[in-house]
Amino acid sequence: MDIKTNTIETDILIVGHGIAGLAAAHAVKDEDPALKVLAVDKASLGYGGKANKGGGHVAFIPEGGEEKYVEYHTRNLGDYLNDQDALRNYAYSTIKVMDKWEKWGAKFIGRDIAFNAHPSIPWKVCLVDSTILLDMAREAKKKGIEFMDKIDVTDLLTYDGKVSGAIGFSVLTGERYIFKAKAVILANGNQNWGIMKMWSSGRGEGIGAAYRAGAMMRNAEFGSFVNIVSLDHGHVSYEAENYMYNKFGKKVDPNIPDLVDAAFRNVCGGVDIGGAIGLVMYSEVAAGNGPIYENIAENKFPDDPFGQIIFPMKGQAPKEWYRPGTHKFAHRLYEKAKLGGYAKNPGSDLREIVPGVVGECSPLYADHNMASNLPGLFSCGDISANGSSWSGAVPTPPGRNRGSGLMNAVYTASVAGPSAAKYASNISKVNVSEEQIEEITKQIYAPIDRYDGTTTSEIEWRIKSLLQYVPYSIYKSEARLLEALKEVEKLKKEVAQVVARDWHDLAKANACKSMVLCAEMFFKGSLARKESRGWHIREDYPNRDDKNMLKWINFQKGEDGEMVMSFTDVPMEKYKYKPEGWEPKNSESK
Amino acid sequence: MNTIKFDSNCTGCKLCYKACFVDVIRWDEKENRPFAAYPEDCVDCLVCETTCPQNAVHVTIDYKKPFPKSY
Repeated sequence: MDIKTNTIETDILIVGHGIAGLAAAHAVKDEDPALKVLAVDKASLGYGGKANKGGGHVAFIPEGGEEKYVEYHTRNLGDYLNDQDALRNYAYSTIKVMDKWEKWGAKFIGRDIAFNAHPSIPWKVCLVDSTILLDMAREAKKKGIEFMDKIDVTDLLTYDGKVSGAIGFSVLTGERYIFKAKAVILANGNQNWGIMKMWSSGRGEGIGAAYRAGAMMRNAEFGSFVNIVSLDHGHVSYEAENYMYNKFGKKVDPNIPDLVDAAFRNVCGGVDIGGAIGLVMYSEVAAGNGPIYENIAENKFPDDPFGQIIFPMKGQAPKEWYRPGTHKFAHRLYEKAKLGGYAKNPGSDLREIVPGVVGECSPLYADHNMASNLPGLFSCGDISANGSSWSGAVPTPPGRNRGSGLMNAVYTASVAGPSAAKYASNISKVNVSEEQIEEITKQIYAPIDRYDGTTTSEIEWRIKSLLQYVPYSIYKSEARLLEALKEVEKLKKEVAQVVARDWHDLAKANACKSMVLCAEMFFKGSLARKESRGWHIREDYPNRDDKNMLKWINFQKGEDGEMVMSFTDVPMEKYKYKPEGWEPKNSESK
Repeated sequence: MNTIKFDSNCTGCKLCYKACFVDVIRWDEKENRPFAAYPEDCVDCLVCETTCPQNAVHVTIDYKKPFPKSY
């Protein structure tokens, strides 16, 4: 195949220009304005990632509340699997991050009148409009930051054990792009499987690229975020958990019911519902009480004044909270997508809902400087939200509390940017291996040269079906995880022979590879974690096991190409908050 | 699958094309017009509609798209 090649040199390459990538670009330039910064994305500048399709909530920890937050998060959300030092760094940084972020183009709404977002901890939330990416991009261009759109970066380039660039292709023309860089920051999101519509941007492409280059992954088993989806319109039904009824018309308690082992009361996130909602719905159905319905007449979230502030689907938020972009987006989504779905399927006020698996598998390992184990590779945002370990046993956004997604993205970017800039300043020459480039190129374009094989649509559907099946992904057991892994093994063989019909489809083929890889890590990690902790819920191990499982589960590509698992003890000895009854061990397990 | 139509009052600003984060909407450079290249991948976000300054984009949502089994 005769493919045009474009070779581009830069100092810092940022993969992904959603909110984390944009913030990282600003942070690099603030650290060293002389560095050349290029950010590339498979979408268009100002519209990629998730930030313009979410609630636009910004969480921060008010001054004086930091330690209380660290303690609460550790005991109730991170479930002692969080890196308490990293969490403390985060807690003491959020105010400073907001000050920087304003200079990078953010226009906060309600910063001075921020509301409390949690009943127990000092956790404040204000808002940004859905135009925030455009605002940040405008400021970035003034600093000389360069951007490229519609490029699917598939792999990292390495030389002498260091990351020295990346390779990808244009989804419009198929042209090959080789990027030579002193340092690479991966900011292209986590694995959302594409089951839930608004989370369709992240398919783990960066996770796949990093893994193939030799990067370590950690905490993949916690990528089990579940929401509630209406089968009438396929979107999230906000607050449906409070208006659930079973087929007999009995109201379903969203908290852990009697149907479920009482042990789960202690492991499902304290006062936060967490992953328990999937468990509650599954248990009702398994007991013969399904399907589960939402009473849409009782759920007043769209009319609720607070609902109109945080996601204004109806009416209008008060002037001090009004966001024109978000107002238009949320109104259209509600009026057309949601009400349209109900109107198309006339019936009673009881509408069927199911747990909607979002996943948010975010396992790229990052240290306190947001550096990976590979020299030259850094990350920020969702891609490493679990791998950085600061949030512990909870999926992305860290803590699963309102507003933590945006703050995590910009906080980690504010760390990754300067780290990458300092690293790059010590690199004088960038080397790449032509042999490696040609080998990766063959693999990238192989699906478009094939005539026989499994289609991307089929692989996507099978992966989605595997992950959306609650007994596999949310309420786990050894027998069921082994079943899921059997299907993953089949998919591994088929994805190696996937066919692509054009460049758009080639990007999907790359996404499929990452989806299968993330599924393998998620299920293998879930199998190895023989306990229930945070959002990881095992039917056969309903209790938290602080004696044997205070470990992080890591994955890396082995020399034979197969996945290698290892364990790292959580250094509980040095942490302030310890589980009740915990005792120090003498030996370190590996 | 969803269908996406573009009115004749489109001014060729490209905002719907840029707004589409799932690469469903492509741009015909010759005609200076958008077209729905991959409607099967549309996720009903409707950002193309709300971004268009001319209200020239119209997504018709297919509510019967398959959803994987949950239990």
